[in-house]
Amino acid sequence: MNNRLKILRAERNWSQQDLAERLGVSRQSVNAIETGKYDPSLPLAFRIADLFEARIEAIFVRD
Amino acid sequence: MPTKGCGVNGKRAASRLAGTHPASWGALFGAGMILIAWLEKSHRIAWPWNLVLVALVSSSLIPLSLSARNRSIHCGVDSAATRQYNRRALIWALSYMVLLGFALTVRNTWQPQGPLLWLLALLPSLPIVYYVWSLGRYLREEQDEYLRMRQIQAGLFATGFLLVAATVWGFLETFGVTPHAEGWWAVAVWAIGLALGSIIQNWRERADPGQ
Repeated sequence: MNNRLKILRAERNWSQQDLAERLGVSRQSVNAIETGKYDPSLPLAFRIADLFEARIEAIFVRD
Repeated sequence: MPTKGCGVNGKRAASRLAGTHPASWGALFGAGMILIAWLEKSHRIAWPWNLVLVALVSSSLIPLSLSARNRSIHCGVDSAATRQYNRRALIWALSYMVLLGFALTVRNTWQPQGPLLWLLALLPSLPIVYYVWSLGRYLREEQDEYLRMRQIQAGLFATGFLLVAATVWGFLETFGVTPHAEGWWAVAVWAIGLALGSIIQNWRERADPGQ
């Protein structure tokens, strides 16, 4: 699954650590999600969507 | 530039923590325990020197725990549950040293029999039971689903590693090629498998930088 996390993060000038703290997860988790190595669960995907005030499908897209 | 995973920062952290990398302490502990087992099997050492050596080698678990904490901070995998897990690891390691030493000393000094001997024999296993409990507790307490998934994957690898090791050793023992291995080695082999599983995960993450 592809995602726009890196772009959304860059738009807000957040580091991976900043995003991790806002989501309450580790920096490595953000890195794994961002690079497509790990697909988040639905609850975490909703938290990410809420944080960026976007719909899940606007952040996560199919390959 | 966005912060990458442990593969980039970890190298820097490893140089800062030169000589105290958790894998180095783990290797020292593992090699030390294997050496003690070999010295005992070949009757080169006996009580109380085996106990002294076990205490000496086990003391490496303290810096192992501290360097593991440092590394998890540097690699961005630190969490409240991880810190609690490391604290519990220190508790079981120290308890194991104390209880094993106490049980062996009482047995060799007073040679108790009956229920007291049973109690003494069970004493060193209590910290190991606590260790297994702490692993389960970590999985319940970890709020970071990615870190939890990594630990579960490492645990599955460790289980497979133990099954293979026990089966291979068991057949070698049946055919009289290797000496008998006591059952308590199971947890030690599983813990080695857990460490190997984590190392393999880190390697794979470094090899695959992602999109």
